[in-house]
Parts: sequence; structure tokens; C-alpha cells
Amino acid sequence: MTMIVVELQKWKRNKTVWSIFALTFLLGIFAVNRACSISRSSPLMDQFSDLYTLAFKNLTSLFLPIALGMFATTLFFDEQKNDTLKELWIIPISKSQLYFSKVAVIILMSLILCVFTFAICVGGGFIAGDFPDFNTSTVLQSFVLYLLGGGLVPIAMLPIVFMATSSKGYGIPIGATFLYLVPVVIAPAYLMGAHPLASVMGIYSSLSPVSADMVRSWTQGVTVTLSPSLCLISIFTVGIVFTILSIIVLRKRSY
Amino acid sequence: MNNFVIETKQLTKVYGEQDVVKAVNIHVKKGRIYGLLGRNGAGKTTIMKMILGLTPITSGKVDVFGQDIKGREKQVFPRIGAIIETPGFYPNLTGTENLEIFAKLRGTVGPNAVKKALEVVGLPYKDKKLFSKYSLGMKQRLGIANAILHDPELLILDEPTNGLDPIGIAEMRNFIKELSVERGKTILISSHILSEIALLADDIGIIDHGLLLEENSMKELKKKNRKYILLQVSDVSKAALILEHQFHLVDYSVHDDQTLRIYDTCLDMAEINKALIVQDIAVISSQVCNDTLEDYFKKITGGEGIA
Repeated sequence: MTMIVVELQKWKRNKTVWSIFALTFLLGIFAVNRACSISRSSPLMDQFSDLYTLAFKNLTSLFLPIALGMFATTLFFDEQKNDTLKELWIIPISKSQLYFSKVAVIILMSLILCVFTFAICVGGGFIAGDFPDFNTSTVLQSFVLYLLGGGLVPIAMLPIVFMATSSKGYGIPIGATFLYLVPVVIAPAYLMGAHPLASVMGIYSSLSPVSADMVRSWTQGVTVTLSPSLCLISIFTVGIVFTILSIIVLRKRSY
Repeated sequence: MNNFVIETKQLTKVYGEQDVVKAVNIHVKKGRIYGLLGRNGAGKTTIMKMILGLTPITSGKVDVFGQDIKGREKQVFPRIGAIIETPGFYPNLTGTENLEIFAKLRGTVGPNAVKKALEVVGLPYKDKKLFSKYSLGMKQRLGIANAILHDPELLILDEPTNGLDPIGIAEMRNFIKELSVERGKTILISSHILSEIALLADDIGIIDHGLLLEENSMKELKKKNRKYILLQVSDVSKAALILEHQFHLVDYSVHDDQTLRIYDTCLDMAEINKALIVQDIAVISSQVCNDTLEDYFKKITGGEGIA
């Protein structure tokens, strides 16, 4: 716990964090603005679920993985660049302790961004008004979706965290983040069970019919057939493998 | 159990095909300042990094406080304070905020420790200046403050006066001396500046191209390098007897079967020569020598480079 508190303390006055928050806010506002500008008679925005899935897609399809990739890279690489790692090892902080505290911070960041966007959506629901399904049950349903996204996307990004721990610069892990996203953008349906980010979509689709529709729009109409438990196993297997690799790299390196 | 706080046994580091540290055995005694002297790139920092587990040891072993450090970092490291190369801190935080982070992570730091540590090194407490705006000297001071924050028994300081101005260097020297003399800390310090080590260290290890060329007490080294009369004679043992009986000489050393060093330079060389010749001992040469520490280091490292 102390490690996580300290990790958060390190982010004081950090521009990257504030920029990520500002962009998240803008993405949320963009969805709300769309909800305000489209009539409730249009099938594009006749339900509150249209608003929250739009904001969710805006956030998690590209922005969240990229933001988390950059955040993870800065989180790990800055320690190396500022030479603070050696000060930490001398204390001593174990390599796995440091790794898990940083991953915890990445998950926390992801959850905060999702809950923040969720709050904007709920606010937007009131502002835009006239949503017939704007009730506690739908709001709760959307909250679960946001929490799931917030928790699973960072775990799906652990291969990028590995790149961040093993690289000697910002370039490779940030470049890898984009490369990691490309196949998911092109053919998510065919990568479920293999690519963690695509597998996350498989889990969303099992949550509710609204989420299933949202995923279908991502997969260009292909219906997800893979079971959510298999998707979950795939995400965690890849995550565990890259966690082990990251800790090995941290242990083997000279400082 | 021995009296060594740090003892390395055949410590070796190989990077690729390059031997950076070659079978080094250093012995740092409790309560003393051990100066590791060598040129830039001699292997001083690598030795310190291996002691602190910052770089894997290729072969050999490091004992700190009488125990092998491998696997005992959690017990041993809290008793050590260190600066290796330039101190690393978070640039977006102030000095106080940085130290508070390390104090929190150490968990064993007493109340006001941050304030006290900053006072000791002459940096302001709760100052608003960010670490990124610090001068090199201020960064070095903050590094020292971090190293002493938890009142460690052993300090490992890699070129701690780097970047300090002359007054800062003198202050740092006094501070290190005080830590050793008044607080009984054991200190391993590295430098490429001979004069700095000569003023500070009780014991010295000279390293060059990864090899520990000499390990000795400063007292012994100074003795080796004081003024002396170099005498080359045909029969050293006979000459020694004459010097002892006729000149009541005790302070001398025999170097080979022809060479003697007489450290009492007040003796009259002409008188000595006369006494030896009378006793049928041929005097090949006699001269007053005055090696400095620098000459000595140059001699044993086989070149220049130590300022």
C-alpha cells in the first residue's frame, strides 16, 4: 500500500497525467454534445445506452490503450531516465514490489478515467434529457461496463508494460502500443482469444444485450461466439506471461 | 568473525568480453574511511554497484557486516546509505518531497529525519525549488541527505564531491570525516582525485584497469612515501649492522640484497659512507629521495592520470 501511495505522490505536478485527464474530459464532453445535438426520435440517440456506449467506445477503443501505453512507458522509463531506480533498489525495494505497485497505479488510473467518463455520461444524461431508459438499472449497467473496461484494458496492456520495462527509450514501447492496437482495430472478431485487447471485447459482449450490440458495431457485424471465460483465461495467461518476463528483465538488468 | 564491514572475495565483473573488475579483494574495516582510488573507468563504480546489488556479479562474493549479501538485501541494505554516480531523484518534486518519498519507502526513518538530513547538508527544508532546477552541487547534497536519512552504519559514496565548488568540497570532506570520527560510521568512498583521498581516508585501495594494485593503510603508504636515504651497498646485512650499532638506527628498511632505505634523513650521509667504507663495504650509490604519494601512484599504476 505504501508503495502505491508513494507512486501516486510521484505524479505531483506531472503534465502527462493532467493531459490524459483533460483529453478524457474532452472525449466525454464530445459524447454529451452529440447526445444534446441529436433528437431523441433518431435511433442514433434515442436511449441512454446510446450515450454511454458512445462515450465508452470513444474512451476504450483507442484512447485508453494509447493513454495507458504512454502512461506505463513514462511510469517505468522515467525511473530509469532519472536514475531513481538504483536509489529504490538500495532501500531495498524488490523488483516485483516495484512492478506490481506500478501496475496497480496503471489499473487505478484506468479505473479513474473510466469512472470519470461514466460520471460525465450520467451528467450528460441529465443535461441532454428525455432518455426513456435513463433509470437506476441502466445507470448501474453502464457503471459495470465502465468498471470492467477500466479493470481489463490495463491487464490487456501488460505486453506493452513489458516493453516499457525492457526498453531503453520512449520510442519502442510507444511505437509498440500503436502496433499492438492495429490488428484489434482491423479485425477484432478474429483475434478474440488470442489478442488480449480483442478478448476484452469478447467479455464486454457477454455483459448485456446493449454491450453485445456495441461490440457488434466494433466487429463490423460479426457476432462474438467465444465464451467470456475463455477470453478471460486468454487475457490473464498473456498478462501473467508478460508479468513474469517484466520481473525477469528488471532483475537481470544492470543499474 | 572478522572485523570487516565490507569484504569482497575474488570479485569479478565481465561485460561481454571485457573484464571490468578482476578478482578484487577489498577489506573495509569498521569505523574507518576506506578510499577507493583510481582513474576514471578503473572499475571503482562497478565494484560499488556490485556491493549494492545494482549490477550482477560475474564471479566472487561480497560480504557486508559479515554476511553474504546475496539474498540478504532486506536485512543488510537498511544499514547502508549510498550515492552511486549522480544521485537520482524525481525532477517534478522538491528536495523535501523527494526525501519524504524515500523516508516513507524506508519506513524506519524517525520523525524530523528529513529536516535534520537537509540541515546537515545545508539545504533548506520545505523549499519550493524543484529538483530539476537544482545545481549539480545541490543535487549532490540532496544525495548525501538521502544517504544519511536513516542513520546507516555504512556509507558507500561514489565520488561524492563531484560538482561541488571548493568550499563545498571542503565542507563535504569535514562532514565525511565527522561522520566517521564522531559517529563511528564506516565509509567506503571512491575518487579519482588523490589529494581528496589523501586528506580523508584511513585505508586506501588503488585500482587500475579493474585490478586492485594495492590495499594499505594511509599511514603505511605515507611511510612508504616519506623522505629517505637510498643506499646501495655491496653487503646489506653487514651495512645494516653498522647502521644499527654505530648510528643507533632503527627506522630503515631492506629492499633487496643491495638496497637499504634509511628514513632518518637527519643523518649525515658522508659519515655513513665513511663508516661503511672503513668496514670494507662498497657504497655503490647514496642519495636522498623524496617520493610523493602521487609519484607512488604513478609508479604502481604505470602511468599518469591520478590528479
